[in-house]
Amino acid sequence: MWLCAFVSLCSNHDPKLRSGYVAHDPKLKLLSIPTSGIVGFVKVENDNRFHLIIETLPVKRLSDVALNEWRRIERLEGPREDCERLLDLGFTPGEEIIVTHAAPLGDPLVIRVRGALLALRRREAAWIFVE
Amino acid sequence: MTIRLSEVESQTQELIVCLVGMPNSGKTTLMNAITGGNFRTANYPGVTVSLLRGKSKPEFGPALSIVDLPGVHSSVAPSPEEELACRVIEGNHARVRPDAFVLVADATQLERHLKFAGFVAKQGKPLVVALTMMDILRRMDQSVEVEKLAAALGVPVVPVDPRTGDGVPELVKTVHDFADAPPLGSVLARIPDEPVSAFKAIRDLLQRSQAIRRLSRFSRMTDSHTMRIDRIVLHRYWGFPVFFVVLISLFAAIFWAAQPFVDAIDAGFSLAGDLVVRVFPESTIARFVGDGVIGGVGAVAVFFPQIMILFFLMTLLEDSGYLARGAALVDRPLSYLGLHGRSFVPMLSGFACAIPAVLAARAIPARRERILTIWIIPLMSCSARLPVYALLLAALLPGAAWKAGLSLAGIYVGSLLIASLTAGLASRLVFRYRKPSLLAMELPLYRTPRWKPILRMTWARGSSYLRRAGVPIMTVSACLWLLSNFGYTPASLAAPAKMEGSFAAQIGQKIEPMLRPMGVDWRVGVGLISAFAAREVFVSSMAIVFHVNGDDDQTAQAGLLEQMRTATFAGTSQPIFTPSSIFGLIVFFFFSLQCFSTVAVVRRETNSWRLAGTQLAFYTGLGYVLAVASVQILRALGVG
Repeated sequence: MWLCAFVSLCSNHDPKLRSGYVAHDPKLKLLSIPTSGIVGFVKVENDNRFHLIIETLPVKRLSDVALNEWRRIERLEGPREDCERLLDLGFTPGEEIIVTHAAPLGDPLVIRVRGALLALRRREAAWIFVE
Repeated sequence: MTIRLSEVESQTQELIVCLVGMPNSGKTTLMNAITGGNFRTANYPGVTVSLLRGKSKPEFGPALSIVDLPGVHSSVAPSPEEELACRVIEGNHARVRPDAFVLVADATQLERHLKFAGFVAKQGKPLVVALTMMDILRRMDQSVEVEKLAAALGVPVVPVDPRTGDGVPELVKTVHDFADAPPLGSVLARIPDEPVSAFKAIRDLLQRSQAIRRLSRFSRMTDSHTMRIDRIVLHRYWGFPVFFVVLISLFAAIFWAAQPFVDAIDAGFSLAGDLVVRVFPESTIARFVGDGVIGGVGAVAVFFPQIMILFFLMTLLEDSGYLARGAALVDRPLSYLGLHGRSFVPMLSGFACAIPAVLAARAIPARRERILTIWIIPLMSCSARLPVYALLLAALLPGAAWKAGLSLAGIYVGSLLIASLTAGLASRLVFRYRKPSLLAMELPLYRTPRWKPILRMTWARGSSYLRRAGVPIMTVSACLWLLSNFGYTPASLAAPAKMEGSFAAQIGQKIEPMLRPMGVDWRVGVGLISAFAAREVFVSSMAIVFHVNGDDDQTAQAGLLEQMRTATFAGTSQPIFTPSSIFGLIVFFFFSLQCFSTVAVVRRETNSWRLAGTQLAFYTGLGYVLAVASVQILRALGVG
């Protein structure tokens, strides 16, 4: 996914740029654009600003990803006890997982993690954010 | 080797070896293989959620006392079963003090299964890792180099196949060899308890060990066999048809395949009872033994074929891997009712007998969902109701077998609907509907079932059921026999009293004012009271109170029906069994919790009389109120 953000005129060394400060679009006020995601700068004609091109890693909920796509867990976000349980089951950040099946009513989902097949409800899968 | 004296139960001199590991690692099958099926449940088996204890087979050398602990995911946030396991592992259990551990780990999920090893190794007791599921690993074209793994983990690693018994002697030998060696699991003991760093530590460990080719691919590997079956079983359209076919076959097997055995056992027991009475004629003791005791044993034994078939098929489904899929399939509707996917197995068992069903409810992790499942189990039309319905429907719809059959099917479906309704209402009104607890259910890989372990498991579960449920049923039926054969007058204590003068009849007559609104008299009341031993006792006690003498079963049933048709209220010509009163009885049996064994089991499972007592009062009260209401409404409508 490509995203074009306007960045105030500034140099490469500007700390604001490194922290990914985006001036003109409040919706894109991302506080931490991953440095690795910055693809480059573009100078646009008749515009006194740099256009920063960043490659955002779309973070999705596991309940929204398509079947049979390997995804890396970014974080868990949900009720504390349940998330602790998910961690115990092997859903740790950085781990690669895949949704292999959805049961007939669309729920639960069957997820492969660390060699095991686990059935998770959609609402539980939604606590798992994947890249 | 030195023999340690442990303070455990009657000072056993054997080493106590605990099998620990995650659920589905094959612990119980291994238990079976080591002990040769010779173990007792220190508590009743649900789907392994209790301690199993047994001795290792003699051919494996000096006897070891093997304890199978419930499966544990985590030592950090445990469920009640996990807490029990953790308490035993930490040596804080009063009666089971382990001397050594066998960590049973699924080789296809090494990381997940070794995570718990850290906690076990920290106890400083000897530890042996048993690697199971090596056959599946081979199927997936992967392998684990056992020596390298053992070197990296610092503990002995033994590959076993508990289903065929391969590797089991080696495992037991290793346990013997290492039981006295100083604990070696120092590498494992450094694995932290906290999951994120624990998983990282294990991955590093496996990486360094080089026991697994291409570790990165290891966690991504799939079993094509399982994927292929799941594509059908979890298919959007085919999933449910397959599920229903499995369920219907299960029911068909429970009711039809069991029938010849049920008939044979029934005939055998009545023959034995008759024999005792004939050989020792006119003796009260002989009649007590013949009718009371043998009849009581028979009342239990007639369920045995059904229960065995149920346990057999459940074990088969569980072993093949389908049971977990079935539970996942119905999780959506069940969680809407405030239940859990795991409520599926108890509800299913409830159609055979409430007792194993209540025990199977232990597998449900959250207390609220477990209680709710136990709450609705008595509504499931258990097989003890079947003879009662058969009798009542035959009386209600004479000469129309297909109508009776259809009505019976309607009663079964109705019981499921009413149970669902009850659960839905109770979860919202009483339990205050909250979001269901985490599903997170593991779906095991499919495996071809092996008969020997399945039969062994079936036998272990079935005989345990007989011991647990048999004693109360027999006791109650013996007591009821005494009550219905002895009266208040001294003379009748010597010679068996007539039914009318017996304690049971007196009790029946006392409660007759309550029975009148239901449209029946005290004689049916005696039947209803005796049905608390087991519901199907209603039929035999009805035969006693209505003086039916038949030689074989068929004429007894026909004779009873004839008697019921002509029975009238004492001193009048008003018939007792009218369509409305029979319908009322069916309604009563549908709802009421007429089973002391179930009450006793619920009490033990919830560890208080509160739920058991409430259940008994609520369902029996509800059955009575609804029976009276339906009789009165039917009469008002002119049904008679």
